[in-house]
Amino acid sequence: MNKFKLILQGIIKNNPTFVHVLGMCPTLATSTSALNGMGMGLATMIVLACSNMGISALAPHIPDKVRIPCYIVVIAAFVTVVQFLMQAYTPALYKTLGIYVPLIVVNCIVLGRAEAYANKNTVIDSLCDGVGVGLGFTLSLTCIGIVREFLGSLSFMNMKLFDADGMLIFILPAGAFIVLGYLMVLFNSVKNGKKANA
Amino acid sequence: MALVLLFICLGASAAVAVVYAVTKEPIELAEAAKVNDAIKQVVPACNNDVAKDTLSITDPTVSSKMDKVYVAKKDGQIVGYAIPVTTTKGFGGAFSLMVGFTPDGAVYNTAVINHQETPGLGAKITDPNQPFVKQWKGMNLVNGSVKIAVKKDGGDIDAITASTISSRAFCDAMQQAADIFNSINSESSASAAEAAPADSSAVAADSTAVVTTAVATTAAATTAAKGVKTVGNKK
Repeated sequence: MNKFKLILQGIIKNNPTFVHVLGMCPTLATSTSALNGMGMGLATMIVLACSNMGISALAPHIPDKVRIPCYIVVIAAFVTVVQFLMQAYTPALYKTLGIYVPLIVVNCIVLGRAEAYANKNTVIDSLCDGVGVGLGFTLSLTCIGIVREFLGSLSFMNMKLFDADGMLIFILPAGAFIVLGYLMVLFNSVKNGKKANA
Repeated sequence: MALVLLFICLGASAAVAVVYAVTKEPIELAEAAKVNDAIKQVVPACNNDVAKDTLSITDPTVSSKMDKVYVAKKDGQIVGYAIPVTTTKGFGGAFSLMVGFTPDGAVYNTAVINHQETPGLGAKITDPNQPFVKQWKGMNLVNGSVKIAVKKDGGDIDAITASTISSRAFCDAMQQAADIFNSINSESSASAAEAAPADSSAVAADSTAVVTTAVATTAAATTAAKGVKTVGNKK
């Protein structure tokens, strides 16, 4: 299959947040501002791309019975590596995202892609799938973050737009669910509308 | 089967170990830079190497995880102290502050070293433009004019809306910093008291000039310090 199409599929057809509704914990927790959401999405994308590659390379040698422990070990190793690298070379980003990074280990998107795609496909295809799904996750988190940040603190990418207080509820977890719900409706209606026209 | 799992675990831990070894030094440098930045933000302009010019706290009644105080000097004169404190009362766990005092006990500035407060709520403690953060500037925490607690608890501090717990923790950290400041200040004012025992009211204001000598506190000065300190606390 065309590599570009694979990546696009990860963003739209297999969008982890709006279509599969996976990885809700980091989605709700980190999308309080657009930049936080984007950082979390990119960190997840790197781990997802690496672990997808690693797992698809190792998959033929892994017996079926122990595959889940093996996947988790591979994923955890990549997450730890990413965490060390962030801490060392991007301390500012680590300051805001530090506590969320270890959560990537138990992010079901990563394990989900390993189980659903990477163990049956070639290394390169798995890499593309990881990048695609990772980008999908990043875009979804950024969109939710933009909406929540605007409504909740009246700012965009940490720049204050109006000198007033926003609606607090959108910063709180309840607001995250509301925004997520509406964006999911919007995303799916646009996506399905396209299909009907085509 | 077990063998495959064993090999994967070995490979993964080897990879983690290598990255740990490679990044250990940059991580330490980044941590040190973070502390240095915080110090620079909280003390007035100075020309000594603040990160290396430290006082250790000898008073056992002041409990602090980071038991040193950074001293900022300009041309040998002390212009401020940077006191690192950690509170465990934060909403998302412990957080650390760097609190800068001018020698008379007024807060010069504060900086958050690390925290895990909720983004958009408690994390406002890191935003220098927040009224909550600004209100501390110039506040004198050691002469008794300010009660360090949020207004809900009967204090003088405006809390951040919807983040009372973070604000309380911040007050707790400021209280620790004020206690530490008192303990170093009493040591220095003790030697001032020895120099001019009659004029006790001037001691607090005058203490700045003699702090340098006070670092090498004599036994006599320490005894005197106890007396001065209780007075300071009653105020």
